[in-house]
Amino acid sequence: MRNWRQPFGHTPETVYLFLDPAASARQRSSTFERLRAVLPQLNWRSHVFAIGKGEADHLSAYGEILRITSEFLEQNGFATLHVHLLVSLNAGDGERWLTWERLTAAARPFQVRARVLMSEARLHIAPIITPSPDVSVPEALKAAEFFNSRMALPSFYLPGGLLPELQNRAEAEEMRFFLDPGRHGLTSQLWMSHVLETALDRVEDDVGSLLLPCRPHFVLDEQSGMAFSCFRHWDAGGDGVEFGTNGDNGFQLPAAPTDRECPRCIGNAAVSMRDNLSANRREKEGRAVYFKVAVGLAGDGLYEEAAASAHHAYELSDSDHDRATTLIHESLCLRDAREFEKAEVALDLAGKYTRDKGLIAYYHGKVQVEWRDYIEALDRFEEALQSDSDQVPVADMYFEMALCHINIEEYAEARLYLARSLEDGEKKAPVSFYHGVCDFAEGKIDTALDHFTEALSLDPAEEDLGRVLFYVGACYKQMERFDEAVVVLEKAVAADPDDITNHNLLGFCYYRLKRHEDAVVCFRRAVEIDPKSGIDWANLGSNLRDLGRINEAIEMYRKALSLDPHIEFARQSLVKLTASE
Amino acid sequence: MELTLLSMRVLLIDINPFMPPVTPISLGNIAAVLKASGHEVEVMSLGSNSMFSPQGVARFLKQYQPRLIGFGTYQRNIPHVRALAQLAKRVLPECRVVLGGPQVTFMPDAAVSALPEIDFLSRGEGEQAIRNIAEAMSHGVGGQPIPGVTTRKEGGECITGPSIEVARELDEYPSPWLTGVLDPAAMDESIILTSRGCPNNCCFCYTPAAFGPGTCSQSVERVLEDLAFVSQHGTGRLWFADPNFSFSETRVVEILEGILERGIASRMWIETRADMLTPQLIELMKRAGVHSIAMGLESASPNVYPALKKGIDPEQIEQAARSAIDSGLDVELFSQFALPNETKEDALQTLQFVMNCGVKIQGNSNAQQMHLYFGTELYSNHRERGIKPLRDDLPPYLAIGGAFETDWMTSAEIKQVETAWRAESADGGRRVVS
Repeated sequence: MRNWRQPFGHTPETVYLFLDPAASARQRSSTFERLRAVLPQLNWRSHVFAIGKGEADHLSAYGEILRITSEFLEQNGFATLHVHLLVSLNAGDGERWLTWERLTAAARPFQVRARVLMSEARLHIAPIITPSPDVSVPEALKAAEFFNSRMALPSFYLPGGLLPELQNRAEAEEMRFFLDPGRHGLTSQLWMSHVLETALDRVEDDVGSLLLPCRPHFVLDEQSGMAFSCFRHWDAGGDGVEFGTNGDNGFQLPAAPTDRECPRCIGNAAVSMRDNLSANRREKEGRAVYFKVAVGLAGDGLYEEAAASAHHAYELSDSDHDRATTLIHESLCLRDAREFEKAEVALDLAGKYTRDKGLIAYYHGKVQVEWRDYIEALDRFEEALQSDSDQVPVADMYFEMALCHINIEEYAEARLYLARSLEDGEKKAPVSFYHGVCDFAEGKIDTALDHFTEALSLDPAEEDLGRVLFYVGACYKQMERFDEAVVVLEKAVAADPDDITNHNLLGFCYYRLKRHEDAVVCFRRAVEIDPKSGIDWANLGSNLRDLGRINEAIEMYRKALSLDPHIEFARQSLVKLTASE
Repeated sequence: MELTLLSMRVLLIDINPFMPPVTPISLGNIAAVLKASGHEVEVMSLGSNSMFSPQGVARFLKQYQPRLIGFGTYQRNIPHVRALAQLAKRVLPECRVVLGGPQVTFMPDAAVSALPEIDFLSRGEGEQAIRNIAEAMSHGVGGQPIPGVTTRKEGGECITGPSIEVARELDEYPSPWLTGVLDPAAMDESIILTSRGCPNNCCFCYTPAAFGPGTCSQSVERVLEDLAFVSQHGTGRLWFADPNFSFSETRVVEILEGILERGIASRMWIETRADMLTPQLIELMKRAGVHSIAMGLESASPNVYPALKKGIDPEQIEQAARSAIDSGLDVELFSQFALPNETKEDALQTLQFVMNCGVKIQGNSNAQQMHLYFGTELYSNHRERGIKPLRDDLPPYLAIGGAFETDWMTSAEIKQVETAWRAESADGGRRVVS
């Protein structure tokens, strides 16, 4: 059975045709041919944007474009096409209206047919009006009314910002605006708008779906003669296909984009379209999208973009609860972006929108933990404890408090809070692990090993497994049970191959077992991970020395001492080796 | 002489421009019969958010090479069906196209002359009609009347075959689920159709004319087999699309008890009747996995509902709705406006009634304007019933639909009622089940 959402594979639903004012007649003719070939490959409900580079309109080309789209619709009566044409509006520009009349007339037969057949399949002309600075609001409105009365839904591209009187009429006239205060150009606005519209469409979906590639589209660039599978590829000038390559109709659409840049693009679109959302009175939808995008971007590790998106969600919020929630999320993103001061400012602001001071104190504490001010963090957590908040996740906070105490080497207090973070009889791998860390730090290796072993038995999270194994290995190493240490540390390396400490400790254990060849492999990997790790160069030297590879050992010791002159065993070994040379 | 049926490739398409794709259960039933008769069948459901291009369709047609293409047809998808049929004929000039569905059963013969791209209209039960068409095509029988089918002879003359009898034993038809024609795993929710016909005689409904006064249904055992399969292989979310699932209280109870006995895990939406909704039945429904029930209200105005011949008054519905809501079930009430005898005030009374029942105005509880379709009692004598069509330019294959006003409501008033409903709607008036 077929996938009914996309039964015949990748199907673009929007084509952005960027016309070149300097195109030759031959180029233009070729462009029209490609458009004719492309239309049958588009989704049955599609948009065609015909935009001139430099925001000039191309009235001469529009007639042919509409003729081509009309022919297509005559043949494919189940399709609906929205043709967006950029039209300039200058003050007192009455003559243009006759041309516009001819343009809109192209849609009339389809409107009549749709009415007769009670069908929604038709040709929609959607002009994007670009008024010159001297156009008055009444003139702009008159143009909008002209198109509206002909069932052509107009929008305005306003690089100079929104005219308030125009916005006041926007809802009644069903107009939309492309604002461009930064004057990035209409193409940039269309790009960002396309990406954000996709996010708005997916607002009901899960966060992961929100960050997938946007609605399938492609860009036809008349100037370069290339087609691109997404705006970003076009902007970067890569991954395009030439007009006229293989395909059923002589033109093969570029393949769908699949790369991982989409979340960043969505983040950029969310931030840059903030003014547009307000101008088009879509704040409510925007808030939901911004918040979800913020969550998604944070999940992808794009914390700065996530924070910016969360801040817009805050700005668009219409309740204090939403404002506080979005600001708290913004602060956590800023914290993860290592922007601790800004994170604190966001939390202070969040505090103004909630009476739950305990919750704000808790999040302040979490920021302070990352800032490594453990004393301040503990004060904040205490403040949260003293509050009457029922929203503070107390168990989580006790755990955070335990970590603070571990970091300031107050192990007795740490154990107390670790115990409090558990319900009666409950066991959790992280808590057992940190009990072990406390014991290990105090030299209680036997009990530390018990705790670490217990943590292992409690199915630790995948990302924690390497660390737990490392500490088990470290306990065996302290007990000089090197054979057992090696077995565990090999697993630690497998679980976390990029953690230099695993290679270092495993290498040391091999050294003590006189497995110098294996130790060399470990320390070589360690210096690959961190070429500035002097101790690992020195360890490499010692193992090479014991393998009798003296010249290599000398070289390694020299390298180690150049990075860290305080590695005493390296210095002494180097002296001995060079003396005997 | 008995003819041997030659196998052919058939494509059945449901296209709904207004909703995401749903389980094409009726086409699935037809496909199961064709498959059992030795034909190769593909069923396709295209919805509002399906992404397909004309070239994608053409490429598929060239590759699949169906000899017969069938479309599930109703008033609002006919333009799309026609255009797809035209595309199919361009790509595969030899293929034949049949239209079926409620709109087609009672479509006037004159429609055929206005549908040059269509070869057959399936009248009545699709399973039998399409089997007859396939048989006729297999043997090259041209110009002869085909039972249950209207076709065009050379020269354009219409010819309609004798009527086909409505099946009384639906178990005779193979299951679209168990035969693998439909795959529950491919859908967000499955649709089950267990019966045909309705004992009521609502004047706006085509079912009485299509199936006669009685009801025919699958056995409880057959329903449970399908349910078990769909629940095991699908998402477990399903709904019953029967014209009147609750025509027999005993049968409903047996199905629900069977679901419990067999441990069939489903979350179900069912249509039910207010007069059978006792606390015991509500409890049984909940235990069986019913999360939402729907009842036909149509109108709460005493000026309107008696003439609809539903046989249930609004007080019963209100009581049943409250009882179900109190028990934790979601309740939906189907209602319409612009009904015969209904003034704007009557229509707004229905809106108030639904809200008073504690029913959320969303999904199926968004009222819609009554539509007039071929085959309904109201369509047959609409002028006598105060319905005034607004259009005289409709092609013969289109019924009046919603293009009318009444002796009691002008177009503007109908629009005002629609606006009033939408204003109270939690989802902007988006109906889930049409």
